[in-house]
Amino acid sequence: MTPKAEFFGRIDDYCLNLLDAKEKQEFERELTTNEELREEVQLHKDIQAAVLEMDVQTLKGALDEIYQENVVPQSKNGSFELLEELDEIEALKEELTFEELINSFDSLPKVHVYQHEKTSNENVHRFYEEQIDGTEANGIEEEELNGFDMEGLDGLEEAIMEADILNLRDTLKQVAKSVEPQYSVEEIDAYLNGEMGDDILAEFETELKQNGALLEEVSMHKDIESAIEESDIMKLRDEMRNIMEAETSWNVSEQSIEDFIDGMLEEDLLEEFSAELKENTDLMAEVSLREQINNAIGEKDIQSLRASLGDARKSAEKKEVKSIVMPQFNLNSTRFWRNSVAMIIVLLGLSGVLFNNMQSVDRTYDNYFETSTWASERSAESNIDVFQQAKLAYQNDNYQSTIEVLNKVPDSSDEAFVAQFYKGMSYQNLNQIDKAIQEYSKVIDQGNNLFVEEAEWYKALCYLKMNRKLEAKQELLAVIDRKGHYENDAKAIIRKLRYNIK
Amino acid sequence: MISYTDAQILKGILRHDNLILQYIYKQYYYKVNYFIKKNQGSEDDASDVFQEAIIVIYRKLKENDLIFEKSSFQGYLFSVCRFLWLKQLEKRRIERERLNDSLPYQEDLYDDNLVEIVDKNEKYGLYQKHFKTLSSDCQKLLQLFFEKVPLKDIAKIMGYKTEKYAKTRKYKCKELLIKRIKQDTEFKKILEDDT
Repeated sequence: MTPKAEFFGRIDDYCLNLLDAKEKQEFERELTTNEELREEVQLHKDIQAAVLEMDVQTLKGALDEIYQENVVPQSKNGSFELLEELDEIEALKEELTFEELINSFDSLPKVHVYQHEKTSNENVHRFYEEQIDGTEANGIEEEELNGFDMEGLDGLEEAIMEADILNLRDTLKQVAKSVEPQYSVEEIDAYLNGEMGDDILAEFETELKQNGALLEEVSMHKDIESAIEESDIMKLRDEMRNIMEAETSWNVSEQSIEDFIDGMLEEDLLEEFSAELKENTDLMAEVSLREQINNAIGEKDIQSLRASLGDARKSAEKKEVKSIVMPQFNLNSTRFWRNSVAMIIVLLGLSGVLFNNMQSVDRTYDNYFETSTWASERSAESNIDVFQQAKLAYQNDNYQSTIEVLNKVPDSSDEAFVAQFYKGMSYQNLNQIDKAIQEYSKVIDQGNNLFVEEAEWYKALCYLKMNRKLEAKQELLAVIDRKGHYENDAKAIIRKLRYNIK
Repeated sequence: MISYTDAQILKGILRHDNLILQYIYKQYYYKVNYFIKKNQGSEDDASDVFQEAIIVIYRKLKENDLIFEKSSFQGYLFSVCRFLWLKQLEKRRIERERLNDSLPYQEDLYDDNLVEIVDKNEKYGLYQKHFKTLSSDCQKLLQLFFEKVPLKDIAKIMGYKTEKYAKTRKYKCKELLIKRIKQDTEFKKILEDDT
């Protein structure tokens, strides 16, 4: 496949006779077989001819004037630098050099030669060859040229030449028609505003009746005008967009969501709520987020309830819902509300939890990491003993010793990030939030590991706990950027943050 | 949850009442979202369709052409959303037989006028989209012109020295707008639909 630009370049080169012999041969062979190319070349030639024709006409007029003043323009004249290409014309080259051509010719025939070189074929050039000796240019018009004294030419060439010129003229007319300037925006506007002068108006209207394209153009102008006048619609659209961006898309109150999670929603409301929950994915995410938060900050009674439901938890198999703390907890809670098991939970609003009830958050940390998993599949191969020990300690909630064991893994180790992450978790459990953040930061800085997203997530939670909302927000945004497991939860928290800051 | 009557909702849409619009969004959006996602659409498609459905209803209201004899606001909204989405699917050459109808819609609401308004809304929406991409200067200028504010006043409002400059500037803006519209592939599709 030849790229389009190159394709056009080729055709241009061919029309301007810039191809070398081999290329030209190749191109012409292609030309005989490829009709599309032939048409394209013809079009290029026609366009060139049309464009050049206009140049030539104006030039001619100008030259006539100059001629009458007996000033013959020199070849250095800017316009004629185009003639450099003349030396490409084989037929001419045989008999005279470029220099000779420049010096022995008057400008006008040169322009014609140039033009025909561009637009026509060898026959025309022959015609000029015939003229070279005798013809003086006197600002001959194209018509005169056609009717030029042909006696000296032999019949065949004359006929071909005629046909060429006629053909060219027809094409020129067509080209001229197709590029006929459409009315400008200005004129169409004037027409639509009734500001068009009577004489042009009549002409415009006749054109309008015949010219479908113009009609389309005018009606588009009208439509645009009415469209822009609809400022109310544009405003309404903006308003809708704002609402859809800023508002939650569920139709239940916060109270209902909380009641639902508590299993305290009244029968009829419950039905309605469940129906919406089935289809509304946003609501689903919200419910699960709130449940997770509740889990995380739940009080002692919840912990004991959870303990008693431990067996049920173990059999939980669904892993869709994400945890604000650690994966396993979710499974359970999701399952619980799905099964409509009534859970008596002391409910705390998220904002209260995050910013006011630090005490309760602290108290629950020890407990809720109780069943969190050690993701051994992500751990490294070496340092097995150390990690085994740490895992045991971690699983037994012995965070201090977890940290001590993991401290044996040097920061330079390939698996340092594993140790750092669980040290972070342990510090967080021990409520040494500052240190936890430090460990998470190391994991994040290392970058190339499976813990980064989680580290960012927990770091954000740490900041939330310290009530450092700006930093928390930044971490949450990073989590959202990863478009991973915690994306929606992070979004939800940011939304909550926004409301709470207000 | 406060609920509104159909009449209140319609009045709210006419007035662009933010509370009512929020109510509509909260009340009905998720169903439309669910429907569209079930039918090869995305979240963005859903919000586009929902938004344009409200605009279509607004247009109908403005024309005094909306009476719920056979339906309710909800039924009408869903029917319009479904119709808009069908139109999109047709454009994307997806068979309508495979449509997973989860919206309670009413076929008999699809009258000629709705089709017309939807087409107009599509075309105008496109023009308005590109209008919004113009500089605010350009937008204001064009709007003043189309509201038939005298040239003299326009020059004054916009702080131009001469009327003539205001006029030239307007042509420049309009030319830019038309160029952008014509370059839009959506525009070509709309033209194809028309013919």
